[in-house]
Amino acid sequence: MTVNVQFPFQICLLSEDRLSAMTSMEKVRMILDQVKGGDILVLEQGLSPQEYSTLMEMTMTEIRASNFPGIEIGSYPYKTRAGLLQKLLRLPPRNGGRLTLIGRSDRLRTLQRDRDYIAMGLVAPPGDGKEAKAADGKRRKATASAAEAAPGAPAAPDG
Amino acid sequence: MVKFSFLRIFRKILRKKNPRIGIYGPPNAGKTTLANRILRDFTGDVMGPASEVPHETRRVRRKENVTIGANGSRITLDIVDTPGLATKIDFEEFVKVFKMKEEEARKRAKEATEGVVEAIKWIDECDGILLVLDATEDPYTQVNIVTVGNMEARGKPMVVVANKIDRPNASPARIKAAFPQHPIVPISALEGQNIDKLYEELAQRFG
Repeated sequence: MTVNVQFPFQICLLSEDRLSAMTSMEKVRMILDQVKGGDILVLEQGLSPQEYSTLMEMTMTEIRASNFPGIEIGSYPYKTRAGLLQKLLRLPPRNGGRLTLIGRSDRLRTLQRDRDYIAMGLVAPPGDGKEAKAADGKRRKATASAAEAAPGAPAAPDG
Repeated sequence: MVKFSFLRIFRKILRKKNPRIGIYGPPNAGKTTLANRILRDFTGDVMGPASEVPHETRRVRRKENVTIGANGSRITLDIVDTPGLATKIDFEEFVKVFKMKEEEARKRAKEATEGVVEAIKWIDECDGILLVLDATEDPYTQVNIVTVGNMEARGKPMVVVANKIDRPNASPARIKAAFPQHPIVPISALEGQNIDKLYEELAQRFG
């Protein structure tokens, strides 16, 4: 039996495998599209510093173009990995992204943060069932396009 | 004539460029206050207005050939003051918290978004970074983590400034614990507290 329930937002967990199959721009676009629709994203492996810079730039463009207030991100500091080759060639160390939570800044708030501990609060979206339904439709559309972008990704949920 | 041109080209090649130091950090950390402090101390000039309202600086500003020094160390720098980096800018905050008119708040938010993009673009133009953090605030914000990560990935030297130590709840130790891999200098840009230590560090680090 299918229960037709409208969810005001969904929490999407994205695996490291799925993220590593995407290009930087695909990741940033997918994150922004889903977050703008109201979803909360959990990335198993966070973005690189350069990808975050791109995400920041594109977020600013979205803020300028609409009433989008921006994004809130929760993640731990980078774990710096300097391999033997890096040390020998005196190259900058690689920064590995870590578990990351991303949402609209009006839906997700950072409450407490430390090196190894982050507490974030979820804010229910304003409005009645109509808005939730509209957000649900947008979300399904964004999920479907993200699924198309990532090879082997599951299809958008129906019902 | 030909001889003169060759000489000019040769001189240009040999001439060492001043290190260009970008002052980066989140909004309201005291970046422009620090830039003004440095310029006032060594040139008598100022970089721009500073205020308690976030995103007061919305355009990158640059001052060339600023010779700074303390306790025998000297260095000539180009100083770049940048708008605060952020992942969110909500015009309603300017209206509700800072009592701005909606039109003014929207304009400020729009300019602030442009400023953030401009600041990010300038990272590649800088030879070193002064990351200014408010010592009364949580240092583990995503903006701080990303800024530090970006500088490390680009291999650019960085000095972290723990600003506002004149305030009773300031904790430079928390910033030191967050970024132990970088030199941390606690200062008050407003009061000038410990500022000579920062000038020494700049001369050593970027000289």
